Amino acid sequence: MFTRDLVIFDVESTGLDVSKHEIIQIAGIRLHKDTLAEVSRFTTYVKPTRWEEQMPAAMEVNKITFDKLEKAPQIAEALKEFETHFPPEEVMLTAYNAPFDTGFFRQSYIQQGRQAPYEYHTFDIWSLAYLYWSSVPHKNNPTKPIGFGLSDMAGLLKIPPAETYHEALADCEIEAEVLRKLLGKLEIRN
Amino acid sequence: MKFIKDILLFEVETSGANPDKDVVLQIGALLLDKDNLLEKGFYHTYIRNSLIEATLKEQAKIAHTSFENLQMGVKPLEFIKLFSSQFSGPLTLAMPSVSRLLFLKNTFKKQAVPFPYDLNIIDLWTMQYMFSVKRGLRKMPTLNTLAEDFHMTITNPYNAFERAKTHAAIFRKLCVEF
Repeated sequence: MFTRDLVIFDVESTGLDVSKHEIIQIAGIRLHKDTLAEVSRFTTYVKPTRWEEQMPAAMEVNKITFDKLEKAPQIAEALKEFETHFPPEEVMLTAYNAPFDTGFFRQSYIQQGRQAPYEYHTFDIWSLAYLYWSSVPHKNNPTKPIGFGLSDMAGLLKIPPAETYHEALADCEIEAEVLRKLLGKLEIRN
Repeated sequence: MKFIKDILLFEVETSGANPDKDVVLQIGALLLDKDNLLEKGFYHTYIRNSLIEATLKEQAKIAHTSFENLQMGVKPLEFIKLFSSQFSGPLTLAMPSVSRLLFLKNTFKKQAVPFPYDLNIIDLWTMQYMFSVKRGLRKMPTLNTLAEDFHMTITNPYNAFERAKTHAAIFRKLCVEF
């Protein structure tokens, strides 16, 4: 169905500003291009270099504390591991609300002095979710949400809730399920 | 298909591929009605990012436009004021790839102006890709291949406003498909 396997990826960060804040967790789940079955997964915490710049509100959301990060690899090593698990020439990056994750991901490469080796475009599940929801007649959908997040969309598609949101790997699992359901609803899936 | 908010579709011509280092040289934008995707407004301009003639000449070459066009363009802060006053209120941004959002955001950031738009955006490429998948994708979709599929002509592929208009026409067609 797809031209390449997809890697649903998600990052947690110390804040919202890509030029100031850093990735502190990165995770990905590779899905088979035809079946969307899981092929492999990877997750790692990342040791930040500017922990003092953290945004308290962001840390309240992801609940990651420094003791989890102390022995974690730094970003350069984490990105190398990510590439080893998900070879850039074999996969297409996919995210829910791609600007956030893509922004941090690509900025991390730039800070290492290189361009991200992945395909230029990122497949954005949020765009697909929004299109699907906009195609549902309003009268059948009185609670149409505005600016819905992953947990809202999972709920609307009747996907069992995750034990926790804003944990990168758990979010990837939910995003994969949202994608499978959406493709079924849009009659795109084989 | 009825959207929750009006859609502000935009395309940019830039000085390079790095949103941190490079700048927007031209922007073309169309405001589409949430109920029928008809055009409600538009804006396009060149942006004069430098006072140095040699830099402007170099940027004009990159943007495939004339030095005069860039020289007559608005300054970045002026662009921000015009753009955000014309396109205010509840909107969903739509663009050909997420990198365009990073360029637009950085234009605001470099002028120390808070970005006023929702960061949940419609990535047009995702939609174009899904359409191509439905049709038995043989190659990655581009604006040119899609325009060809829909029998549209792009007279100047280096003009951001013309590309924005073509993207809008394709978007309308794809909304019927979904």
